[in-house]
Amino acid sequence: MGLNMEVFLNFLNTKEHFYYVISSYCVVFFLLALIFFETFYKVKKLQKKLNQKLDK
Amino acid sequence: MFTKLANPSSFQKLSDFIYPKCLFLFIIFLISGFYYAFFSSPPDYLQGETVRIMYIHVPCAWLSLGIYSMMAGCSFFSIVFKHTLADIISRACAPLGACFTLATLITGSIWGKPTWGTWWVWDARLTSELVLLFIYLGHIFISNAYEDKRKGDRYAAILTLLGIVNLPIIKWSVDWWNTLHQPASISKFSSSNIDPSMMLPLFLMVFSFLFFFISLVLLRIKSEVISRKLEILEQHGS
Repeated sequence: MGLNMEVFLNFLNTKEHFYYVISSYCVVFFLLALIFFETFYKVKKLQKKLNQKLDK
Repeated sequence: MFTKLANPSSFQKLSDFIYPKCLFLFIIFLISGFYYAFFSSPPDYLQGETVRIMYIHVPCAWLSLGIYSMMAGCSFFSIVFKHTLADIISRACAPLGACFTLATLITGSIWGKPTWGTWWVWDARLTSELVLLFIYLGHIFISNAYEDKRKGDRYAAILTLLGIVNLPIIKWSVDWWNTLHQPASISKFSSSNIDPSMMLPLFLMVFSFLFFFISLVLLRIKSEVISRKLEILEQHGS
């Protein structure tokens, strides 16, 4: 189960399957990144708003 | 301990401590999962290289069911004990559950095209997973539909408890009906059909996604607690 460059190169060369695999990984990580940044900036914005209210 | 954690401020302190650690573990597990998924695990003798979709499809599917079970537990606590934190956790979980369910459906569809020859069939497993996505969306819409958050939370909790019927249907649909979707390969009660060289990256990705979910749900709980604090401050201000 060690590092096998041949496994990866074979995967890169299977043209049709390559696009199916890569597109599914792209979709999942796009969705995860989207929800992560949406949450992260929402918390940041709310925290800022709360701090402003508390400072008043 | 539970009474202490049920206090939003104490829970917040604990979550601030756990959040960065979970994010770090997510990255570590993700890198090692990618390494084994692309450099070590062999292609399947039938499906070829498309089997690598399994390393993201299965974790998303397991999480979509796990998150719903967690929401159902919170809804029960919310209805029986009327605990605000249960509602907050439920609200925080729903968009994440919807996101993982959508990811499951899309990756399943992409996997289905080269394997089954079609993007979509109205198969029991696929349809019940789609119903799960609609229940998650229903929860999000209902909980935000009312000005009074408690009312929205209550109706959303009822919907979640009613929707729990869908979980056994998703799990056992492949055994109850003839479906294109394959039966479960990993079971608690029998030996696995998956080779260890594929099992390792699969579980690394499962843990990676699990830590991602934990870190994000903690962040979303924080945002919900802050928004409720703001509401209270605004009520006192006006």
